[in-house]
Amino acid sequence: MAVRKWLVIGLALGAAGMVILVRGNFRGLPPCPLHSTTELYCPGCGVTRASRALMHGDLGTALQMNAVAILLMPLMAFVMIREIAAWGWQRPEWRPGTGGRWGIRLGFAVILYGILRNLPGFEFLRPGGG
Amino acid sequence: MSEEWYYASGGAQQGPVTIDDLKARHAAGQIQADALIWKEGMDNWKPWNQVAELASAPEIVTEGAPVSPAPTADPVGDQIYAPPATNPYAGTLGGAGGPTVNPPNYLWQSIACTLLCCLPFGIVGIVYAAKVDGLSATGKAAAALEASNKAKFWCGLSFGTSIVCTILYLILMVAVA
Repeated sequence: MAVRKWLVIGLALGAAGMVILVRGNFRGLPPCPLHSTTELYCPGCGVTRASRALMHGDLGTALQMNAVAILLMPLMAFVMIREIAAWGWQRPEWRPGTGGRWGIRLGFAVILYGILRNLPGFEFLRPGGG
Repeated sequence: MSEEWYYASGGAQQGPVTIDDLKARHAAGQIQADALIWKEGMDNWKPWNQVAELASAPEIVTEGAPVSPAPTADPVGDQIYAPPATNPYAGTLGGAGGPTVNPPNYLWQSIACTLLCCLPFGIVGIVYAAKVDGLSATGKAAAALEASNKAKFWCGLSFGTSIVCTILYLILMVAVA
């Protein structure tokens, strides 16, 4: 089935085209429903604003919004591209490794980050530094 | 629920793939007609042309790649691909020193869902994903497969909910504007 491959290529081109189109006048999205209803900061809170800052070349603001997501972005991009390519080209051997112990630690670190952001004294971990 | 199929290629187990993938690979010449095939529920590896679901697929004989006789007459084949006891992850396939195939742990996917889909479901995914390798390492293959499937489920739920929410948001924005 070559359909998958073209779906992946099409979506990648579409995403790239969208970034080029919205870059510069991307004002962000409406507020997150989870945060507006529960006041909680989830581990992904600030990713949209961080991405917007990155599109404007403002790494400082991006790191203030969600440092963990920005620092993990290259790694996430690497494993996700491999995963998607393996799916599209039907080559299971391209799939990323499991990450072993360090992968599991990373997973729990992300959960911990999500918990700490909501605790008093860790306001600096919230988007914008609290 | 689509069934997960496995096949043996180049001395190593490949898969899981869907039956459509399997047929596509066969049509592309990646799987020969005498390749060994297995899915959960089968009590042994079987050559392609003896699997009922696959035998109806048109056989494509690639030039220069003669179809060898059925591997039931090939004692080496039986030694290389030991029948999986309960599931394909349980043992080492591909003979001595061959790769052990463990279920995918979906850890990367869970982390990505937690960060990008902004939903608590990703966290449940991470918790299950973290269990998979440990269970595989201690030989609890069935439990590892179960944890793997749960991680997959929560990832999918997180991703799906996020996609649905995004689409609803976009519709709402357009409707308001």
